[in-house]
Amino acid sequence: MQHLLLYFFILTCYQVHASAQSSGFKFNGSILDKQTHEPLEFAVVQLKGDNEVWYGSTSDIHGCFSFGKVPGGHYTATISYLGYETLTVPVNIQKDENSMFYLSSSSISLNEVIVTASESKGNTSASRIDHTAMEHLQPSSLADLMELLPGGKSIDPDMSTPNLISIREAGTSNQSISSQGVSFVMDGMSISNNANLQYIPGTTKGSSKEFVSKGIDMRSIPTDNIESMEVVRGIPSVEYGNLTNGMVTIKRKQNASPWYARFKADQVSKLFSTGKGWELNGSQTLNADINYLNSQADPRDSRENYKRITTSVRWNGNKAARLGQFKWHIHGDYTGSFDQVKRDKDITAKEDAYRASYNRLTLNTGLGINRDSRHTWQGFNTLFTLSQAFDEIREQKSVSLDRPMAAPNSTETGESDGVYLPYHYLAEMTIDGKPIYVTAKASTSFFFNRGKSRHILLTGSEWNLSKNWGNGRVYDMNRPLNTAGTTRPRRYKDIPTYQAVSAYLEDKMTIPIQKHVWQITAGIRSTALPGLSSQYAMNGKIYIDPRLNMQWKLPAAGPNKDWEIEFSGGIGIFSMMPSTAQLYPDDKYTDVVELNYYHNHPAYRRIHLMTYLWGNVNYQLTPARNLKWEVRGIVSLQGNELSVTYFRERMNNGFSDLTYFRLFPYRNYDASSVSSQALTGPPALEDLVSRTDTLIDTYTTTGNGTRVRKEGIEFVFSSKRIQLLKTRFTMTGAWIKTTYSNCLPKYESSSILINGQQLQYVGLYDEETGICQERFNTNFMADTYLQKIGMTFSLAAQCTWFTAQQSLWNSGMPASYVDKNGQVHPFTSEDAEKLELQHLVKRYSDEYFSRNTVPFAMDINLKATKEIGRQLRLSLFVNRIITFYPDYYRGSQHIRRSSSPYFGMEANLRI
Amino acid sequence: MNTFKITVFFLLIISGLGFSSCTDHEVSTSEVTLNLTVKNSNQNNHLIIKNGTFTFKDVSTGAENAVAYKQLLSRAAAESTLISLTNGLYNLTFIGTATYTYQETVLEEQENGESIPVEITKTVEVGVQGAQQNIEVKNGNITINLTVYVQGAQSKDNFVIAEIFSSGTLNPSTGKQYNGDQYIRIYNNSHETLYADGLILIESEFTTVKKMDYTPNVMEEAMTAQVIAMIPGTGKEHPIEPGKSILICDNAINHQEANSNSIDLSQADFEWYTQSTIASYPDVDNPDVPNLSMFYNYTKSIWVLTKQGNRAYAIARMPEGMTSEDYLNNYTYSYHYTLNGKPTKDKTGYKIPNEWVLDAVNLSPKNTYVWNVTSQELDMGYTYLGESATIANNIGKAVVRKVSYTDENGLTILQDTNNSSIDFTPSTSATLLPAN
Repeated sequence: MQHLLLYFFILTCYQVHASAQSSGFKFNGSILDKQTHEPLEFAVVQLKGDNEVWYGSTSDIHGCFSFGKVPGGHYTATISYLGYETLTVPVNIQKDENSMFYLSSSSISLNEVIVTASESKGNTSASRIDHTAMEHLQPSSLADLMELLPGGKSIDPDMSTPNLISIREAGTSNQSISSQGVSFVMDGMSISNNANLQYIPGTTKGSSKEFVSKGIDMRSIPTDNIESMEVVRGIPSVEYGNLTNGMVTIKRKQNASPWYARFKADQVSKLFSTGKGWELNGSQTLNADINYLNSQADPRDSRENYKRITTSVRWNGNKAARLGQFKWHIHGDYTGSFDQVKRDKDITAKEDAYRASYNRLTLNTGLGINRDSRHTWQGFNTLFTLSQAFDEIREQKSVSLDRPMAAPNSTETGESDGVYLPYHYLAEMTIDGKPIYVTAKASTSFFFNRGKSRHILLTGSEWNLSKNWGNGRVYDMNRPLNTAGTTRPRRYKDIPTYQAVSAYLEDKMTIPIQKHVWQITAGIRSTALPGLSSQYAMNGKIYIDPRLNMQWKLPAAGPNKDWEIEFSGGIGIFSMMPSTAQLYPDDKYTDVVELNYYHNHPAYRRIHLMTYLWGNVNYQLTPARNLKWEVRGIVSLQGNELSVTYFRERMNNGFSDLTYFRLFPYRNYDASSVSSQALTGPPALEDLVSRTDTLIDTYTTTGNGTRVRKEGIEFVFSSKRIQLLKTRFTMTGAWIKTTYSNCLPKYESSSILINGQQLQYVGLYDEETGICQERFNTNFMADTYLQKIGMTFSLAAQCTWFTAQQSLWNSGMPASYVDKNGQVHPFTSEDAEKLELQHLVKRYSDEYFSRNTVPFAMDINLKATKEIGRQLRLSLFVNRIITFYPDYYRGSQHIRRSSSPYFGMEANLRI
Repeated sequence: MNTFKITVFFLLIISGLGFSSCTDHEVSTSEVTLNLTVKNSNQNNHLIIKNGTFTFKDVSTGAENAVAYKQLLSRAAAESTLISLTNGLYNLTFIGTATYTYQETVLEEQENGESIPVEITKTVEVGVQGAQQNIEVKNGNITINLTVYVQGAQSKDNFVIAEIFSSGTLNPSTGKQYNGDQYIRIYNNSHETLYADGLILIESEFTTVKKMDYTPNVMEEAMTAQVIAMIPGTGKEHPIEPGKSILICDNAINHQEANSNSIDLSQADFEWYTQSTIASYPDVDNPDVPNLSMFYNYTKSIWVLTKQGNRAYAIARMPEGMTSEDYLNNYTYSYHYTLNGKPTKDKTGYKIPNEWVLDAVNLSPKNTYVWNVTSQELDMGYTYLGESATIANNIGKAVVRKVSYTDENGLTILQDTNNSSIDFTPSTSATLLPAN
């Protein structure tokens, strides 16, 4: 007890004590993770002298610590860090010392192999997945790793559509912000798809393969060259912006490593990858790898496939200089991602084909200096990335018409005669996109003490530029893919350059209060889009994201001082800037047919159109902003660890399609007066009776109409390996509730024809509509590592305890309606009975809005790896080797569920 | 070596799972009790079923099991159960005859030359029929209540649908289906000149290949419609002589211009036209051929008949004096059904009371037929464009009503027993197409 009090005292006063020393030696060092050699920040270092005098310090972001003046003598250094084994080593200080300390993660310390994601040690909730876990999972792309997140579940890889991420979501959402709001950072640089404009309006073959404004396609990211990955579910540092939901940071291998080769085959794909890391004269490394994947949507069908080729060369180096430790890197990457759909050669439409290719070259360079914690100025970091993509979608379709139609080819507002399309033709459209992305990032940090607290001040700025200089949508207007075209060719080069500038400032403080340690990270990030035309509401505006994370580490408790407890919490605002496609949408065209006169003689026909053209830009667009907060508690005992996180998110202005109405006045020509026998050419318009009429219709544009609510509890428990069984147990799970709704009024037209006319009214619906989804999942996994025979195998029971869905209640009554003069009338209950207006009412049965749940279901997944010698490793996985899907009743319906297993295997060679 | 063993072990586990999922197959039977109810919309007379045949058709195997009505009666007298069936899913039809008697007063000429009224009893024989689909026979004992209807009660001596051609033609230059040339032929099956004015053509809202618990279920009183189109006219504008037809088509144009395999329909009697003004899908209008007046259509772009042949079509007449406004205001039909255990959003269409219907024909590909989307009273069976819904196989195929007899004047009378399974020649070449 006496000892404890003393410890208290010393820890509290270490600052005073350290500075009170008038003579002595410097004792500096750094603290690193034993396995990954990553610096451990905020590790606590204590020095106990022979004279029972204590000195204390903590490490900085580079893992460095320093004691200014320590009297010479023998000391015992105790280095502790949550989740790691405490290290106690004798130190003899007789001169200025500089030492390295390596801490082992509590679980790794028992010669551990971690095959699951582990909860991050930082001060916000994040899942860390390292290479061992990836190897055990046997993924084809980054998408397969998402099952390791709390609440995740293994999903069969579907390589026929882009694999989009969703973080903390209970179900699937077709809202773009769900995946657009997740930022991917690879080796310090964010990967942007902001200028992706690869879409074919109205395509049927490609619609599921396009991901404009939907973020990153995880299919295109291979996993073999990844050293570790972290999925930040909580509040990322202000260093990272342009995200609303979360962040994925990927750190690729940059160390000397043996040559490896991996061959994988599963039900739909084959993968080959190889790579090596060389050490060059001690302080420099060169890594090179190549990865190839060929996948088919259905193994029996070779007409629809996906291919990926990636290659990367990475040169990293560092050099000690007087100023500090220099670090630099140059990474060159190529990613090719190809989707292809062909029609059956045997059936009639053999010309039909769809091919989308994405080729991207990236150069990522960085230069920085790290200085140890003796200096106030901690150094700087600069990063520069240049990325050029060559994207092309080409669709070919043989078009056959069943009736005479006009080509949608007028490019200006006004009346004109239409050009008849031939009855059959071959249509071709090319989308040529050449987006270029330039990013520059610079940051610097300072370290200082103020009173009892230690501060690391980080400040930096980021500049992003993207520009698509492709030829855009290229096709022959007289041979369109879709006769129902509301767009025209567009040159992407003409779209203005997109620029974003951000700056941030963050203070990481460590405040020891007695034996408790508080760590507070408070930061602010500001973003603006310079160069945006002044018509935009965002022009000249600066969007501020404040974020705060706090962590409270309690002193070790329990009789053996082996209970470690910490609490953390954070709150932050996140802004996501609209993408190029959202800022600069296509112009809209509407062609109103004024006359479609048919004559048996083709030369006497006439089609006359009134074309309306308008720019569809929503100048009121604002960044989507999400407010997130969370609290987390972590308890660990002798390598067993439990963490529980509760979170809430609120976004009121996610990107969505808004609908507006528009009036189209036109002349309706009456051809009944034409005597078809008397004609000697197409009927003259002057001879026809016409009346002026107006059409009313709706159209969509991008806006900020999506409201997102997220709430949930995530938990991760991992035991240490039980020696007797050689088995480690992990349980992760989450209860998540997400509500996606539309919160802005919506105009809707009807598709029906009544009394020979389309509805003359458009309804305005102002009630919130949407869906609330809920899910409770747990994954229980036992992994056994039999070192003697080189076997690792794991059984995972992935349980979905329930999922639920509920539509948000709305009456379905329009608030008002607009007639074809543009007059707005309130919609009354009498209107709901009127001949035409009754068709604007949306009707729902009572049970429509009731909550529907799907009960328990369980999958058992098996994974096994066998090492043969030192060089060969064979692995196998069978997902859903056993399943338990009990039948259930919903209302009177008896619902049966079934599933089939999914398996694959691979060989890894290491020389 | 170890790995090899383990792999084999895994494979064994996997294959073991595969085997264990098979269950023993046992043939078991159930006793079926049948109750017949005669629904007789025209007469109040009591119908007595004389004879007939029940046909149980096993949905999965196609095997038929016919039981004579008489045989059942004798069995019923002897034992309590009527028929034993192998457990399974059945479609049941009953075709038979029934008699009813009625009193008629006739003037009987006496020997003195005076006529005095005398009541005599007349016995009339009528065809009756009924059908029920997807009867699940299991669990030992089941009771089937089958409603049977008097044949041809609705459309005696009136217009009938003679032909439906909705599968399009093969365009030899593209190798694709061309379906601008769809048509429906309506035939005057009476001995008098009838007027086509005001005749309405209906396309069913539901399909015959997907049965849902459509709520509310109005099938016994009305036919649900997604398209209602009326032949224009004041009442006497379009006389149709007995034995003559009217041709209603999508586009009354010369389709041979686009497709040499197709037909010149520019001389058709009527065409349907959805006055779509948005150029996305402009319908084409031949001003020389009158358009149907489109009361209601689910789409404002282009209406094409079911290419897969899985809806019902009907012709009907509205009661005298009913205006389109009256109809459109008062005959909406909003329904929902359960999808994955959850009610769908309501959809609003229209309904046509069964009494207005002159003739109805259910179409369904033979191998995907599930149910009739009209009351059994209007049509007890179905006919088909082809065995399957594969358009390529059915191209050029129509359903054509069979000839019943030709009378002494050479007038062809078409068969109309309100059972399309019997009345139509399925999957036959469209009559307007040149014979191959």
